[in-house]
Amino acid sequence: MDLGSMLLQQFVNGLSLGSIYVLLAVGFTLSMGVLKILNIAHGEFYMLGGYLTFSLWSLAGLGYWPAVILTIPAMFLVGAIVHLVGIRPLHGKGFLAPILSTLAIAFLIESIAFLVWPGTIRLIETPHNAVVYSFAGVSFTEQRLLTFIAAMVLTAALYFFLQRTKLGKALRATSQNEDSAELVGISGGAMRLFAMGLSAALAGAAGGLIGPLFSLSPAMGMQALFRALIVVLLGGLGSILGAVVGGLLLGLFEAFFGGLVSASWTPVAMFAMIIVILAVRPRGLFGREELD
Amino acid sequence: MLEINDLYVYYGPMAALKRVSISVAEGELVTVIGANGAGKTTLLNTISGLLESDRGIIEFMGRNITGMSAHSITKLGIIQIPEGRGVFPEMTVLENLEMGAYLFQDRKAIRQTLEQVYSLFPILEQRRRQMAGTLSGGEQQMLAIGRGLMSRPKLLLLDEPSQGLSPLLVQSLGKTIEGLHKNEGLTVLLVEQNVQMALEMADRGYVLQSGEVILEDKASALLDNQAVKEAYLGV
Repeated sequence: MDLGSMLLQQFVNGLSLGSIYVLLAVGFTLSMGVLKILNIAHGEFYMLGGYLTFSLWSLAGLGYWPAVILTIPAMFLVGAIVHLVGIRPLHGKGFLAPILSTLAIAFLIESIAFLVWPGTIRLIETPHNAVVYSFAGVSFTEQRLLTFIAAMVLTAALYFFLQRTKLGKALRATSQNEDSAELVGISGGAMRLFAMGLSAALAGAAGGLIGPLFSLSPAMGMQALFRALIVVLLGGLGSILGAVVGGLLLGLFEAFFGGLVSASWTPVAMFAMIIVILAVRPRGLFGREELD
Repeated sequence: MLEINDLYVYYGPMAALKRVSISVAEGELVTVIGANGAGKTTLLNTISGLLESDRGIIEFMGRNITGMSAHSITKLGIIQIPEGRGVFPEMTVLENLEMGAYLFQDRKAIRQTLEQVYSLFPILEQRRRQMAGTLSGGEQQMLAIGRGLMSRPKLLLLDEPSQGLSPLLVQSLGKTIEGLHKNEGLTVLLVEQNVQMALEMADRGYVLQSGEVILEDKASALLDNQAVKEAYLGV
């Protein structure tokens, strides 16, 4: 394989991986914007979404896509419950308490996953994995293509929901000025609950989409959380378009670094990148707002 | 219309409001004046439900609204224009105004109110596609008031509308508020540090000092009051 087609291959791999990071990060940035908390459990929503899709597919015998689609409302419910139990009681009690609470929830979800899905690593098999397209020396499975399309369609749907619908605008208003939102009649409590549900649903969808590409493990949540953080650092807080750019960039970085240097050193490089970005641009590469 | 009886608000052990009793009748323009830190904003935030009171009763149109959430109080028609404008910076001017009509469904009526706001503040129509955060201070104040009017207030709570504006803008803003009160019959509770302007347009006034009402009278009488003159008008 010559260098040109190898680079192109990594580019294609990076885009499909990055599209999942986009979906993971838009949910993360949404909950951060509306609830003003750092949700440490966000990666666990992603992991749980992956396993839910896996179980719906393997145990309930659903097709892969119906399993993904069912995962979305199920994870919305999980997010709403997590909010009611672990986040809402701490509203207005400072910055640290909700973070610690979501950290506890993260470990709780991870421990449950270890109990429910012990042992072997899970991979979702779909017929799309058997269809391979190749041209110009580059080959990719139909699954990668569909994953990319599904992630982008969901992200676009979220963008239009936030820009065009009344409920979406109310969410944006709450994230921009909570008091003013209350003063025009928007219930902040309802918005926070809804944002948390939506955030978990998006993370769950991302988990469902990663299932056929990479095997699932209960420990994947924390790694996903760090990736979501990096995307927000790259793209800026609260910006959907920033998350799209940041997510795709991170996917490409991972693919190129993994393909050209070493896959095992990728996390090291990524975490070093966080430190460099924070030192040079504390507001993120494209961010205007402080991350505090 | 609004009856506040023996209101107390504490920040920790410190009383921000003590024994405050204030009333606003329908169609009145009432002002609460006082120095920085006298408790004026605390008073408005407590009426609108952003803050909780520790004692006392707030009634609006015969209904006890003490302890209700801010968004429920908004539904009743008490609309606060917060201090420092509080626009949604990353939404367009038009979106900000639309958010003011969040509780309404009737598109035709919303459109009509929007036209009224535009005729009151033509600059907002010109800037309707611009992000609110990029507006000047005066324009943001107009937007904040415009958004409040979109909520079709029964009682408008105005918090320091003159803050940070040039004298010329303060004057035109004062005229606008006076016009809304006189021509549209809007009931207004105005909190101001610009005592001269506030008393000139108000029907009645209260003087707040360290969280307590120390004086209440007709606005014209307060303008002539020696103590008010010395403390707030610098004469």
